[in-house]
Amino acid sequence: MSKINLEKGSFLPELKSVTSVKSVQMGAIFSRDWSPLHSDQKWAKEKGNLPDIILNNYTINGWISKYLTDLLGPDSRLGSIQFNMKKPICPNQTMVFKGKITKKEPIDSYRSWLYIEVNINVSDEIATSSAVKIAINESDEERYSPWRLSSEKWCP
Amino acid sequence: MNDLPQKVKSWIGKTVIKENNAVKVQRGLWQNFCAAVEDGNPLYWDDEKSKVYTDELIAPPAMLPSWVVHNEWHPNKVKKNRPMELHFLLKEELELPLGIVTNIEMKFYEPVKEGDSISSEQKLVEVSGKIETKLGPGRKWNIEVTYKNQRNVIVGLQNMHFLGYKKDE
Repeated sequence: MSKINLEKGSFLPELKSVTSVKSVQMGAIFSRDWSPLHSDQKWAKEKGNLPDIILNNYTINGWISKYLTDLLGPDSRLGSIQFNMKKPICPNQTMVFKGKITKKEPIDSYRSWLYIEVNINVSDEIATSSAVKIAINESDEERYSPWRLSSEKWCP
Repeated sequence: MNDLPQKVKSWIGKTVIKENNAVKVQRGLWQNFCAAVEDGNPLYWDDEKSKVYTDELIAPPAMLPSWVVHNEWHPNKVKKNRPMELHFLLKEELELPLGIVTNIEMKFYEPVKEGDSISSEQKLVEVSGKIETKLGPGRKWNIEVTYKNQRNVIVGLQNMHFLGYKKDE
């Protein structure tokens, strides 16, 4: 269990990461997204009407998941994620991940749902906003990991 | 929407595309993705540690839609659906050659593991009227996707909102 404050209203530590042409392309190709919007700079600019290639949605999802499970540990279990891509994220931009716990509710005596707002800021503007529901183990015992909930009790 | 082509109207509320067994779930593929997003979660990498929580390694949830995406080239040269085929069909029917995802919601159920074969069903929920956007004239649409494993157990649900557009003339 992480030692960060996981109560309603708490802010999570920030994460910064700088994108590159290679990282945007890697995210797209390894998530099997073949659209040239994410891998071909000439195509993105000339035919896509975009400033450059852009981070694809699977990669954005992957970054948000990584941000949270790095903080909450491997026994945290992602239930749902909703995200809104407000501005494209391009190479050579610094992504700043910010999280805030907006709600916490018990699943049972040992586990809770955290509702977390995660924004990815680029140049002090929100590029992607997201709302995540993630389950955590409130006990010290591994057997109460959310991963051990039966499918009947897992309601994301 | 009265200005929609008849074919598109007939798709609304229905499952239009089914996909299955595009690629078997494999750790090598998901670990490439994890490297791209610098995700060292031991559930995706460490056989021993993953036993504690999930009995074995699992694939990162963010990659769920990837498992129904076909390779663009195949030795049998069989024509396969494109990723999110229904989105591409809509772009063609609506004569909007460009498209981006604007909003996504995903729910994750049974974890996806090595060797799984994932199938999906794409349902068209709605299509907007014509709109003007910063990128050009277009329309918005919403597609729901249900993902199941080879045992027909739901592994995830996805709701995707798209903007289709064309360059201003």
